[in-house]
Amino acid sequence: MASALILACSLCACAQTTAEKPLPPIRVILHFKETLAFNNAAFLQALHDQTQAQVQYVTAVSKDTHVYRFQPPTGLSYTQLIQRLSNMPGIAHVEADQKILLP
Amino acid sequence: MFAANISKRVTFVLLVIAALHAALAHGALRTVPPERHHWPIGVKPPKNEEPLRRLIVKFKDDVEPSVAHQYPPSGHVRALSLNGRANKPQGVKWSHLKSISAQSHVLVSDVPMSRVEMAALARNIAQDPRVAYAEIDERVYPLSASDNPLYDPKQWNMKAPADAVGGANLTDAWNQSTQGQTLNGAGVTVAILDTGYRPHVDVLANTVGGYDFVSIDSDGSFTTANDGNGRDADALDPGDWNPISSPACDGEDSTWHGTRVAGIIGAISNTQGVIGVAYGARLLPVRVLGRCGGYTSDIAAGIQWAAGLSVPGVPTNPYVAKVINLSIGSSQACAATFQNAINAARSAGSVIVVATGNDSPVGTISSPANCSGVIAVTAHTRLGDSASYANIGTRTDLSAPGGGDGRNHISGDIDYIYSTSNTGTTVPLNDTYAGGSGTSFAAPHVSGVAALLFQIRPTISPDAVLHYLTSAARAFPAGSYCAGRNDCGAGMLDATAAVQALINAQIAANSAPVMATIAPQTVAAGGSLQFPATATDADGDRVSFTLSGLPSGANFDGNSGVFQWAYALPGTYSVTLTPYDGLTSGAPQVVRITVTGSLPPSGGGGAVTWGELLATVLLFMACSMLRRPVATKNPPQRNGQQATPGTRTMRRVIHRNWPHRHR
Repeated sequence: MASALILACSLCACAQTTAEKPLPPIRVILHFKETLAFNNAAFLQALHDQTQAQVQYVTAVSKDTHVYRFQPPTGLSYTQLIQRLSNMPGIAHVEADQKILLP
Repeated sequence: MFAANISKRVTFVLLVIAALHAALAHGALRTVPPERHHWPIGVKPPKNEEPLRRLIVKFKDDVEPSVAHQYPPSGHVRALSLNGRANKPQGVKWSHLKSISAQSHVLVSDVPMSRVEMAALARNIAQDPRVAYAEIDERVYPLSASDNPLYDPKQWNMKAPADAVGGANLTDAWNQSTQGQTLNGAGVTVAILDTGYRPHVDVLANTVGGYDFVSIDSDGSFTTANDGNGRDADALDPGDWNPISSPACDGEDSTWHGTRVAGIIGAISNTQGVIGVAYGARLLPVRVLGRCGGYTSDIAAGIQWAAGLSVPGVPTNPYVAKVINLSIGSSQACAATFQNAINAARSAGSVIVVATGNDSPVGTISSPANCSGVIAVTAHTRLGDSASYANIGTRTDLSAPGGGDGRNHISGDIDYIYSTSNTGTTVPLNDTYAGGSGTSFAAPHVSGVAALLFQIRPTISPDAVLHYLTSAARAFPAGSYCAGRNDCGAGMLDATAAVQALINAQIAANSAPVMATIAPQTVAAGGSLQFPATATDADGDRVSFTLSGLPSGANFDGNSGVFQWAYALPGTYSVTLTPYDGLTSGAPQVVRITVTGSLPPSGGGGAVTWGELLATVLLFMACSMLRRPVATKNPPQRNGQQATPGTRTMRRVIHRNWPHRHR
């Protein structure tokens, strides 16, 4: 969890200096404790209620791991967003969906 | 027995002479105009070609069932009147060898023919209106690495240490075989998680399936995907050029990275371009990178899909990859999503090979090479020096050829890794070959050798693959940066040592086949004898047999294990049968054969007296004289037709002098 937070912090280090503007959308990977209805309206609403961010389902990694796009509201940092998601029951792990480059 | 053998030899010689004589008389041995012989692609003409005996005949689809669909297929032979078509004296006896399809059949002649003769015969048969085509059933010879034109001048990375200190030593590995097959990765799927693939002619035939995992960007665009859409079954590489530099991504031309990696792993052995490490392997393109890289989530999904695991919304992968190559990396910790995917793929039996990165640091390797359970590959140069760009660290497993300059800058140590590529700087244009360097090109060497190991033992575990690769690695040469260090991995990749170690282990662990007991055999002289050899193999390997002490006139089929003797000669014999399962020979078994009694005095195939032989010679001499076209010796027949020279007289002589059994 700590590493996820560090990753998220590093991802948005520059953006956090201008917290008055909404940050750009971010892709976040959610690893669930068990398989659930990862894309139904009720679950997306729960994610929104927890984070106050606009939420869209993006794609799957596996049966229990999925990717969502979050548009944080003004004043909410990526670190805070990930912390809020981590506090949700049923979620085993949260991390920013980092880009990997060619070596 | 001695007399019988002499008799057969003399008879054979006489028959050949008579045949030539008759053929000359009929002008049958006319010279066939020489022609240029074109061997099909993949067929390497040997220096001294053996005579040919096989012909493929394809009947037209609309050929009447009575001709084309009548079985036994020997009906085809009769329908075509093949016997006698070849420019051979007294014709050639053909028999049906096997069917390729309902309308295609392989015929085999009893007499070997030259290529010219066989080609002439094929042309003749092809003129039959019922025949679609006829062609020589070519023997296909394996191409050598040197037939790939860039192998000798450019592919130092594949060669033995004697030729290139840092070479992966593949030449001797390719000379090995497993289960009777050339060791080239055949039957093994290697997934290439990269920028996608181009249908390059040097890899396309090995390319199977594939999927594009690059999904929508967080801003709702398809900038990364660069193909206008998200995940789909099209794994083609549209190009990953980046026109505008940014802090996160340099501006650059398209890299065709996936195609280059694919060529190193599995470029076909042919007469063009390069040869791949596992040139017979299936290449599964999994597109996870686009413009400016790709997302952790898409790569993790691609890892699991390649390993045959379920990814919601994506069809199941029909080509489960036992080897997954990841020539990617970023300077960060191993993401949990990566680690979970790697764990799942390993549990499914797949090996994940990852490049350590090109950031040059000592002590740190990039992600996902720093994840647990992967094979982390750094790079070395032609002379075996650690490549100047290559990341090394304590989690590095081994080094493979990556080209470029070395950390110790040994004089003249600059050589690249050549592979398949494309000429386009943005969108794809034409096939080409290009040189380059990087750990991206080192990892595919290891993936290719891992495929060879899987070909030898399909059930080998990921840990065992790592063991064979690292335990067989060669030490870094003295004077190179990694000599004596412990953060460069076990040493330099050595394909031959790795596959030989596994083959040796296979032989040691293999259960030898066990033959069923064969009772002593007894048969009356002149009678026929047939019995099968059977064996069981605890490993389920196919068993073949060898036999020594085969009696004269008997036959033995090593594949079926069937012994056949159509005309048993008196005596007692001991034949030794030995089962073989492709790796180990089982205990031999001696079978005693007793042929009782003696051959009937006038029985076929028995001893021929010297008097009979002398009579045969005299007969032939008389025959030769009578065959001369002298009018006085061949008077017109009563019906006015001219007799065939010598024929009538020959019949008379035969009746008078030859034993009745030869009528």
